[in-house]
Amino acid sequence: MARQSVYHKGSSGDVDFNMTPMIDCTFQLIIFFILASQTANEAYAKNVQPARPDHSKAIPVKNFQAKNRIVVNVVSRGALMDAKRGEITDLDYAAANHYEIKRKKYDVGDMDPLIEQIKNQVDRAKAAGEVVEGDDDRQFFLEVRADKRIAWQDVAPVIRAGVLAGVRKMNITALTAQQQ
Amino acid sequence: MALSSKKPVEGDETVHYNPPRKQRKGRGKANMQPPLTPMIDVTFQLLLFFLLTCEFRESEGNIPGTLPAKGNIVQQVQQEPPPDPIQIRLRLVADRTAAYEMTGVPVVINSPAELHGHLETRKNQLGSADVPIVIYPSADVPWDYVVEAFNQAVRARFTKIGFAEQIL
Repeated sequence: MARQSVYHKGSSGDVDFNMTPMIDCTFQLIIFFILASQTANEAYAKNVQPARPDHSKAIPVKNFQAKNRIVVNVVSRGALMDAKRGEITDLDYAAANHYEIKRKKYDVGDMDPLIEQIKNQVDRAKAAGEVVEGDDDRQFFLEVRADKRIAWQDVAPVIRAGVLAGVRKMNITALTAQQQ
Repeated sequence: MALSSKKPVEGDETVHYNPPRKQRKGRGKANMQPPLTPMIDVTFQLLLFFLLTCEFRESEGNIPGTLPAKGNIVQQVQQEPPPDPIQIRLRLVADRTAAYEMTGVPVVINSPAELHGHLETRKNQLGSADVPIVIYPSADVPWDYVVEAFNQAVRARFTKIGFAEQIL
């Protein structure tokens, strides 16, 4: 019986590699990465670590995703700091650096532009007939996606801004329950 | 040896029989292998792209809630809540951790499981999940604990859960 080898010796004496197993492996890897990777979503800021509550009741996004929504990210100052340049304290993580909607940043101290932005989106959805008062299926949602380390005093203004902009529904982003 | 060998031996005039199947095999052997190099190039480019850009994120979800109607916010903040709701107060204890205090529970609650237990007990005592729950976090409590309190109230199947800010 011939010895198994990664290369074949042809009749002319040429040595050529057997590419088939390598291509098989490569395709398997590509399929894995295509399925496992998540495409970047501009609504979700990178440096936010949402909370994972005990027995989380968060409904996975694939099962519950509002059509009309605005995601407000609350980004921690500590998460943006470069650890190499100095020590990052708990207070840095507790403070919000900025609010972020679709990569546009809003100052923490100045809430008016944030309220205006939310209000514009609500008005746009209403004008398009996508939001109907009293219809639970056609509502505009405010999604609060805050870093779990940020203090309540920096998250509360976002909820308040939603109320002032006339939003009636709010979702709190959290990690879903871990598979047991 | 000469009998089993197919090599022509000088002086050997033995006629070896070659069946037609064997004769066909060697004759029309065309090398039809397509060029694999470009495909492998592209495949490796794709693999490299996915390796470098792939980001494994944990699965996120939403805990749904409702906000008060516009204009109620001032009233909501300035008025003392009615005595009926179950109040959950959050305050910071040492090392960026928070503890929960619940009306009617004389002890400090330190874990979400305990909080859930107390909420379940209260729901059974009242016989209804329609009693409002108001969560009062102090300003410096991490959002993690606020979400935890909200989640435990949802887990205990309470339907009216709200947040309130403490006025200093």
